[in-house]
Amino acid sequence: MKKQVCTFTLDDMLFGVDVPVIQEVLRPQTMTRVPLAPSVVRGLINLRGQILTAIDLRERLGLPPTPADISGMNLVVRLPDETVSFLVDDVGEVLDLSEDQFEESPVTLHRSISDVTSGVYKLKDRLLLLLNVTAAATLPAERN
Amino acid sequence: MPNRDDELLKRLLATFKIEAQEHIETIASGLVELEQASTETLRKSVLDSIFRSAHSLKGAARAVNMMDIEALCQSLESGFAVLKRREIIPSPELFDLFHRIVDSLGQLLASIDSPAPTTARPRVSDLTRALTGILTGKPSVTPSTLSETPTEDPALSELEPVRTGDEEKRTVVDTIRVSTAKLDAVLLQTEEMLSVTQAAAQHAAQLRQLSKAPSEWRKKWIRIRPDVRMLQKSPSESGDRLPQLARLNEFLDWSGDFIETLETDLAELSQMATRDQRAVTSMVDNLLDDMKKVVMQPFSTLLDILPRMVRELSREQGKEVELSIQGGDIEIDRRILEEMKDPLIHLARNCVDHGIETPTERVSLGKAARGTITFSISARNGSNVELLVIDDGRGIRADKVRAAAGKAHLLSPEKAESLADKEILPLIFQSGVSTSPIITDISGRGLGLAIVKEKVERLNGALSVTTEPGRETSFRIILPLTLARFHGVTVRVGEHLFVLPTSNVERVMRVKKEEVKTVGNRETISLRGEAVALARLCHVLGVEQKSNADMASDIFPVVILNSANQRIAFQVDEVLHEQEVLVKTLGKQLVRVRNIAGATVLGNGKVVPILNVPDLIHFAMHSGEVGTRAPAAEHQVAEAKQKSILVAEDSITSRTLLKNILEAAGYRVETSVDGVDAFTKLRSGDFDLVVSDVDMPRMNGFGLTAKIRGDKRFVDLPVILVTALDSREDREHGIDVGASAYIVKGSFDQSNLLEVIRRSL
Repeated sequence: MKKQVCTFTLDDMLFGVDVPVIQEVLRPQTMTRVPLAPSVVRGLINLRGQILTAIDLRERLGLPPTPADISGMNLVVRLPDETVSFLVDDVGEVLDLSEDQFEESPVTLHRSISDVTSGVYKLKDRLLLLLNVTAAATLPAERN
Repeated sequence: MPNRDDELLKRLLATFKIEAQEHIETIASGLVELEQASTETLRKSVLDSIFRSAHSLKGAARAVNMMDIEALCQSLESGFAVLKRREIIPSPELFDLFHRIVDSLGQLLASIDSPAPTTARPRVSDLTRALTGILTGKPSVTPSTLSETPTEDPALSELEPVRTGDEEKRTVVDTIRVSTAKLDAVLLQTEEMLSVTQAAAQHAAQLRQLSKAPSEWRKKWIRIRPDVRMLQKSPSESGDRLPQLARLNEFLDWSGDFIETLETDLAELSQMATRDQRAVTSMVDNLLDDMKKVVMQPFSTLLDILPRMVRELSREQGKEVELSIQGGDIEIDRRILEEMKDPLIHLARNCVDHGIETPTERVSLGKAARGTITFSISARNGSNVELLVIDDGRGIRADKVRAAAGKAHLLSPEKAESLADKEILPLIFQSGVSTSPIITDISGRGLGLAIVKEKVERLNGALSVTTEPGRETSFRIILPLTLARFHGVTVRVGEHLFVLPTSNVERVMRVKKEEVKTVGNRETISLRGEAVALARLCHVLGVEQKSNADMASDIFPVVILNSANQRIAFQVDEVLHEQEVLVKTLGKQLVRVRNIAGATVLGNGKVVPILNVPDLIHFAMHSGEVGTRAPAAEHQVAEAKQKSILVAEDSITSRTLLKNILEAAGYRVETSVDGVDAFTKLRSGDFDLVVSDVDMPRMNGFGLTAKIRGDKRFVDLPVILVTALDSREDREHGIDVGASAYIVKGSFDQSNLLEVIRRSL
């Protein structure tokens, strides 16, 4: 069983998303901030008349904020009941991966990351964390 | 929102099917065992087990709106109860009937996936009637009220408003059936066209602007032309002209012609764009109007449920009520009708419960023994309808509302005394204000009206009440005829734009700094001699009011917003324009964000949040923001502390439902399977509230509540009992053992539960 995964990076870590759920990849978009919204929501973007929620994936995963020199990319993902845009550092290539490279997330992974990943692929020289898009789009109850 | 609910319901149904299958098997095998049971102890234990299964299945069915299953379980339960009390000796016929009911349960369960036509479904009322017959020893006696109506499933009849008889089928000429989902999709797409017309308008305006540019050039050209002429004529020192100058002259002449042509072209293009824009706008408007008419339905489709409900309610309470419905043929957006179902039920209940007096009371007051409730609908203008709900009962006494508002800590006693009756009355729409003595479920002027208000406002409608004590109460609801498209005022705060629904904007005005008066500790401005509280939109929304120019100005714009008879002036930096906007819902990550109702896309493609005016007013009033300079960040922090709730419920379907609903509402939820489990979890965790079922194995809800109240650490912990048992004794039992609230399990919609939780925390 082969499957196609589109890679992206966040804070120098390599992540992947199943290709079939990706609608498109966009350059930085004009963002409308929503007052009093959870910090994970960076704002709203207009995609051909459709309003999408832009989720700051660094914030969602508890990683440090995006440095100023990274403009970021929008990874637009179709979920069963909505379409959201994940803000990532950069979008990479599409990889063909096989099931036997797949493992459960290592226990050493931080909770805030393992909660939204469904497992890891062992590549030649590094690990690729597979993003669970539904979990990532569902906000955890706000941390106090 | 509906999508999310559908999704949840689908998942719940899947869980329900598994749970229901187990219960059905337990009951089926239990029945066989029971018939053969040789000892009294065995008989009792089997009965207990099938009774519990029937009861749990009833609750679970209720949670997912499976009314037929609920009704059958109800009758099984009462049958088993009779056996438990040993009132009759079970006959083989009785067991046959029990088995037939269990079979029907199985069939109903199977039909969830592939709904069979009504005719093929088990006749629920026949079965329950037959059972009542055997149990009471009077076979085939028609039981009262409930089973008189042949359709058992009201939900089903609502889904299929168009009844196609056989004859019609053969002679179909001008009617076809189209699924509402398809129609809604087409309507949505048509509404999307609105953004095209907005963009067209924007482009036409830009072109008009652009076509004016050459005239700017001409002005300068005319001014400089004499100089150029002179240069052309003046001979050079050598007597010859420079060839460069000649070329420049040539170029200047050519440029003049070129720009003139450009000007003509631009003017033509601009005219065409304006013409096209007008054409597109009128076409889209017509299309949208027609499309909306297609999805409209008469009010009567909704009001038809009322007569029976009012009759039953008034009968229960020994009252005589005549219900009169006027204007039921007026048509309105189907989506609005759906949203208005609960509010209308609440209002009708309210009239019967609190408005209409008992016949003796009425006669002694010199009124007719029979009270009247009127639902009257009338079209106000092209875009609104008015719905009046009037009862000729006892009216609302301002002193009672005053006392209740005081009890709910909404007002200080002094404040309550100082307000006029007219100002006190709107408080009945606040949740928590009830003149009813004990907390029960949704009846009464406590929660019901708060829900009505919330729904009406969410639809961009308006709600008000007037009363004449002793004579009548009249609720007036204004609803838009159609949904989604509405007029909004765009305002700027700092660098942010927001849209305010025009229906909530009473006035836009400019105020001088020195006109702001401080009354008490509140800043106010004067509107036609009346003091109106002033708040800063930037503070309420927690955004920066950036520009220095905005801060320095001595005169600033305010928007006076009103909702449910309350008004507040909000200071903004600029009021831009009013226009028709299309409401788009936000993703699920944002549904609970305060003050935001949705978003829209302006003609220039910019996404702008639409503000929720009732929220703004509520927050401005209660945060102390009005007139003070409290930093908004503080409120955010306070709001962010997430409350955690412990749920005790033995049915997995109900448990999943509760967990989902509470989590969707932003609470942290932990679940437990019975009272013992709950109490153990309670001692080891940190919880702000407990929601418990009443009927559970090992330790029931009453036991759990008593145990919680007995532990001094939990004396103040709110406990909400949620139950299928709707009896006065149980309710009082609940209050006796120290429950904070007692709610009868409703259906899938749990807005009353959420409201009670919000009040309790």
